[in-house]
Amino acid sequence: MSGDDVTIMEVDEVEPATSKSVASVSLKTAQLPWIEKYRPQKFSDIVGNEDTVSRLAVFAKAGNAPNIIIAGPPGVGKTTTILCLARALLGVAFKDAVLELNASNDRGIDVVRNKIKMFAQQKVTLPPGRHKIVILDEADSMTDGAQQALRRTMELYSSTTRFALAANNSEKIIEPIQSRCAVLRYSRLTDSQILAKVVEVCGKEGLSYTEEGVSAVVFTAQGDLRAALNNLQSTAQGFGHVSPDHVFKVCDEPHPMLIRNMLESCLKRDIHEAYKVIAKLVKLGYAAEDIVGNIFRVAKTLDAPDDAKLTLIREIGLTHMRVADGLSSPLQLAALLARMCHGS
Amino acid sequence: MGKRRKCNILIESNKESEDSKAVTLELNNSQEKSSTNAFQLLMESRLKSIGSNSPGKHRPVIEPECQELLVKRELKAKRVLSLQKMAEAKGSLKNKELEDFRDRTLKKQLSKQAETFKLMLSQENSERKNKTNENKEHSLSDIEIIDVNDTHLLDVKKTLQLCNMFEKSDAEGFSKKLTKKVSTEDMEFLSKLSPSIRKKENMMSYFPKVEEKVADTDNPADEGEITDTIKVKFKSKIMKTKSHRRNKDQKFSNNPQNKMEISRCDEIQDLTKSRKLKVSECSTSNLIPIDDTEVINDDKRPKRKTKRPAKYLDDTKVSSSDEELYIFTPKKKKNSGRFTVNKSTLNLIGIKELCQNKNPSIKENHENSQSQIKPMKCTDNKLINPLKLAPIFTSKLSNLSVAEKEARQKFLHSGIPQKLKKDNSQLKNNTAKLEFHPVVHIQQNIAKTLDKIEINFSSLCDSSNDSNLEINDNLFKSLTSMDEEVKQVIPSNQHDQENLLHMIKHSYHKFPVYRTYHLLKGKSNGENKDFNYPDLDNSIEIIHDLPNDFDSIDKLCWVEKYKPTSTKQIIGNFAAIDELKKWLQSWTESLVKTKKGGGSGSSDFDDFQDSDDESRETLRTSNNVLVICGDVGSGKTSSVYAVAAELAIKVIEVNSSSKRTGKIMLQDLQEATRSHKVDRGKSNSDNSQKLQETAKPKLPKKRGRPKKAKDLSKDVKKIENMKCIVECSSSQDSVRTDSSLILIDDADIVFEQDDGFCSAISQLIQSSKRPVILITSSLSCQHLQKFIQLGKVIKMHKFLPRMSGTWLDIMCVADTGICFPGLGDGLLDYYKGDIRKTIHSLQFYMVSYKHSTCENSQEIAHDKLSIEDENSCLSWTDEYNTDKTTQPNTSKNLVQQHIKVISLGAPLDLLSVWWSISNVYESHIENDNQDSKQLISISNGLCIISEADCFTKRANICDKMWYPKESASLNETQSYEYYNRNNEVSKDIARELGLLGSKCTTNCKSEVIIDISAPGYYTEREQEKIASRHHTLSSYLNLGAVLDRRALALDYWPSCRTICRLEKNTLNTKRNNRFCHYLKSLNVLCKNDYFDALSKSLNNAL
Repeated sequence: MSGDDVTIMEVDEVEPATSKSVASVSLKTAQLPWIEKYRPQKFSDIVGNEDTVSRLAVFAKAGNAPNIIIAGPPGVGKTTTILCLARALLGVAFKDAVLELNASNDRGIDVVRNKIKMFAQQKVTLPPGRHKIVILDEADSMTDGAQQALRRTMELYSSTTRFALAANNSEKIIEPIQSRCAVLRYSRLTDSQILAKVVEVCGKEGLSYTEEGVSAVVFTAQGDLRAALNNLQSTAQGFGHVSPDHVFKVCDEPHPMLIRNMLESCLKRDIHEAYKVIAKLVKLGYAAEDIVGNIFRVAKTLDAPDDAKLTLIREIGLTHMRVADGLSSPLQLAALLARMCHGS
Repeated sequence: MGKRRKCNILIESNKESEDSKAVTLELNNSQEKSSTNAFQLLMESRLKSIGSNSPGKHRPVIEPECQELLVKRELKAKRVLSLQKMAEAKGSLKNKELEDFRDRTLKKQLSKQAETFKLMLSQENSERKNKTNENKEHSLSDIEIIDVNDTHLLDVKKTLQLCNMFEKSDAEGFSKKLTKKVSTEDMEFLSKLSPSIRKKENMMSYFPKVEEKVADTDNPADEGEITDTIKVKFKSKIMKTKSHRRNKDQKFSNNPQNKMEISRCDEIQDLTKSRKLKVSECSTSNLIPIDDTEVINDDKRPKRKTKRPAKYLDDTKVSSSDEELYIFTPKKKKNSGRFTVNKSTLNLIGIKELCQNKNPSIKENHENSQSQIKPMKCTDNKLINPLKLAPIFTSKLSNLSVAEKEARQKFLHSGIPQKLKKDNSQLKNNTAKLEFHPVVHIQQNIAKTLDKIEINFSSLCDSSNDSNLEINDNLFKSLTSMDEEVKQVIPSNQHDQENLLHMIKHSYHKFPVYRTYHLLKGKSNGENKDFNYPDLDNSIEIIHDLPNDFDSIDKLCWVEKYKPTSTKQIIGNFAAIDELKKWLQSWTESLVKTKKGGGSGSSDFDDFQDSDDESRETLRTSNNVLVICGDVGSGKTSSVYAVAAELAIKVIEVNSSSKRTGKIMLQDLQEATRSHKVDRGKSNSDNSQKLQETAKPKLPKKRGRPKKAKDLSKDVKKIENMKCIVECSSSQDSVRTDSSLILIDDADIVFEQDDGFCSAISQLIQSSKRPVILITSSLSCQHLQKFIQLGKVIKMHKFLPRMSGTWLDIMCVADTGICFPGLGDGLLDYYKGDIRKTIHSLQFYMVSYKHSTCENSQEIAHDKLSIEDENSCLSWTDEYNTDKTTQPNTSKNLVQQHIKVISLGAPLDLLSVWWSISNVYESHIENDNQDSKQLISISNGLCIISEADCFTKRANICDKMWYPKESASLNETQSYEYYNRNNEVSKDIARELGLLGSKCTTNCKSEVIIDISAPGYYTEREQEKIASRHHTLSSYLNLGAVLDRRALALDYWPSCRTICRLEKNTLNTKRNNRFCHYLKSLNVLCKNDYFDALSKSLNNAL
């Protein structure tokens, strides 16, 4: 059946975790990118959102989990959680009893009506309390039509098949689907959680790193652990040593420290100093979107009274809107500076 | 001897027998001239690819420079050593050490080669053993090294070479033996990325020495890169030879086999290497020195001496013959030569790994390697000459040891004109990486511009981390309670089920708590599954395929488990369900009538069908279409199933999960309506038989249901359900088995591919003798309009939190044994009356909570619990009592915390923020009128929120309320907004603004907490009320005024509101007059009833 191919294909990459021989494991993991290499296999390894994860762990033991939607920003472990759950629930039967579809698969109405339904109708012998699992990763990129076609399937086969959906934006999932699931929300990971994980990976990889370098990785990640690990790996492989300048060279973002200085001088109403920074950033070739985005991120963490911060962010938001509309000239950035100086 | 020879031949034949011609060619070409030609060609190609970095400048300088630098090197090496110590003390500079070690072994190996070279020149092949001794003397330093690290080195070499040869299979063994952190892949990667590594080292240690040293590695590493490309082909061949070798080795084996193999591998490599050297360097191609070099190389390892004699005898003879040459086909040579270089680097890494634990030995090694270089220089004068041939490399790598230069030269020489193309392509690859340098340098410059910033960086990071956390904490503490608090508080609410039920009962007197409990308890134990069975089994999917196994009730999720099986169990929408039931009943009764008229007594459907001309007429005239509409999760489908089960009507369901073109639908449905009697009739009648039997003995008890004995109450419940069926079956037995209804679920969803759907429905309605029920979530659907006009419309409303909440609480108790009274209420409110969603999340939440907190919840026997209290017959109407005073305060808090846990991280709903800010405003008006400062702050907050709204959606949040919520669209196109990064940022900005804005607003009034997280059903209902009020208001206006939304929003509504506010305190009599004035000015048609209605609705507004 067509459903089978997909399951097998998807499962293959997860396989090294379960295979017994140390040989193939070490070999395979050595070739993997770090986000795969250090992808948690157990619930206890998942960073952040401990409350929800521990609740899911209960279901992994007890079985009979309801349909779930995990919603949250990227890189917080949504897919990982679902895979962990599926693995814990199904164990050996993972191959047969899991249908995983993500945005790279075709998930139109036809697929929902044929492939998913066929899978739901399949009979797989499972222990009591266990169900086949359909994993729909990035479910918010499914078209509305496909979601509509899915809704009754979810109910009718609930005695044999459960659905696990992961989505960035739960608003993009239509109300009827949400109504058929328990919606779990993941929040961004805190910086300390990411820091701990990054340091752990550094230790395992035997990297040389400085405190500042690791913190720079954490800053660039913005609560996204996957981004953090990717940045760390590219830094490590590109430079072999994790220091702030290396990190920012790899990530190629407007340097937050520059922007921080700029904002501080804005708060001091020193537009000349502030403009120097912007001019430099523009000269370095950064896009206005990136600059504004980074200004916002720095402004969010700025050590300033709420009122001042609020006015800053309002101006930044306004400028961002303009830039997003296409007015990405340096003049807009200069105007932003002027308004920030004026407002504070 | 013979063995050895065989072995070689075997290898050769295995490897590249086809290249034998090339070998001879190469031999001819191996004279100085040809090699220089090759070199020139190579150089040219290299120059081309490198571009402007011409080596010409440096060419004359090389030799003196070289010596000077070599003198310097010692000093620098010491500095490097000290640096290394520091680094080791730090424990963080492992990579650098790796690099150094790679250098060292490279040097060592090259020096070995140089020595063998020297020996080749000075000595004859016959005196092998003498040579080895001499060699030992000459390369004292080498031997020292080996002695120091003897075993280690061997081990390392063993594993590492194995790695090289059999990368895949042995990587694991390698990693095991050397307990190392860096995997082989990483090492390879390191060697590939040598430029970047070098850069890193530049950064890390500001000693010039290091740069130079690292620079040395550049070329070997490059060579290594090239070999990587070749390896792919090469590996497999070696694999083969290896296996052959293994066989041969077993014959030899005095030594452990492993070592043999390894040594042989070494031999091959060393051989090829030295061979190449010879070919390129020596103008006279004498074959014997090859063997010498091999011998020497082997001699450096004391352990191998044992097996040597036999081999060497072989070798001499073999080498004297030309056959030996077959081994060294040009390609092979080149490859293996590079291979060894690569290997050596790897060797060093391995050694390094080993020696990390043994610092003293490392240092010894280091010193040795340094000292080793000097004698090399002194002795190998001849080798210095070729240096001039390879100035390209020296130009870039300012100082090279002699041996290294030789190696490079070898690399150049190995490029044979015939193979030039290949080399060129490889070099291009190479240069692609080399060209990376300029880019890197530019970036470095950027880094320098940022230098001063970097100094501050730690402070930024720290502060950003800290402030981040702090801000989040503060915000969440003020706005939402953190989950830690909740965790602390939650376990305090531990009661047994009885108490819980008491509490629930106490809080809501009218609700038949215990009855419901027993019903649900029964369901949770799977006792009522008989009732689940028939109706589910009737759906069209199940006819088509799978048999449902209801063996284990555990498999069901709560929504399935506790779904209503009769109308009595449905809570809410009572009127609608009554209507539905009546409709169905009347329909079936009419069917019975027609049937009786047509052919009484004949239960055969075919007969019926044949004789029903007039019945069809009646059906067409009577409405046999019913439209049920309602919001998501208001129980449309399940109530149809419940009613159908009660009336024992089979449901044939068509839903959007299957293809619904007109053809397919008609086919399926007509088939189903005709054939169902055959496969369903028997089982259903059997079922009914059983039911009747079981039900009859208990029928008398059922009558006295309200005051039932404890142990029977459960049965009563059952009987109650059965009663309906029994009644149906007894009264209309024949009809029951035959009747069915067509349920078209999701009727508002029609995809493009489902053409003919509507016409199929209308055809069904026209022709079918069965009721057709359409379920839709919106009435504004275009294609449904004619059905809406044609048939009856039943509206289902969302569940009211209060009553359903109690039911949910009881459900929790029944299933898990724990509950938090009021949680169901709150959650249903939070999910805006969507009961299915609430049940799902309750299941998730309560089950996990139960398992995580109390593992063993005691099961209380049923008889203990069933206390007579069912006097209270709930009036099944939609009224609901809003006295919340009975609910204990503590549990209220608990519930709130629970809901917050559940809703934590939900996206910020600006509408609700906006809504609650206006609440703040109004309460503010009531309290103190004069404080303008607070007003300003509130308006400020509103302003911020409007901005945030603008950033995200570019639409007016305030508009949202006034328009009917449309059902989800059916477009198949993906929205690419999803992939837009800008969108993310603007959303972030809006969220931050919303949070900050509401925080600022609440700061001025600390006692009012804006409820951001949970909009809730209550507030939504309130919103809806206001919206509907405004709709009614505007419906009295003339069309022009309604369309002019600006006038409406800015003039009409506000002024009406203010009028009302002012009029509130005045007498009723005068009010109408004032309205008259104002409304007349608005061109409102001044009829009296309009005014009455207006004043009424305005009155209600406040």
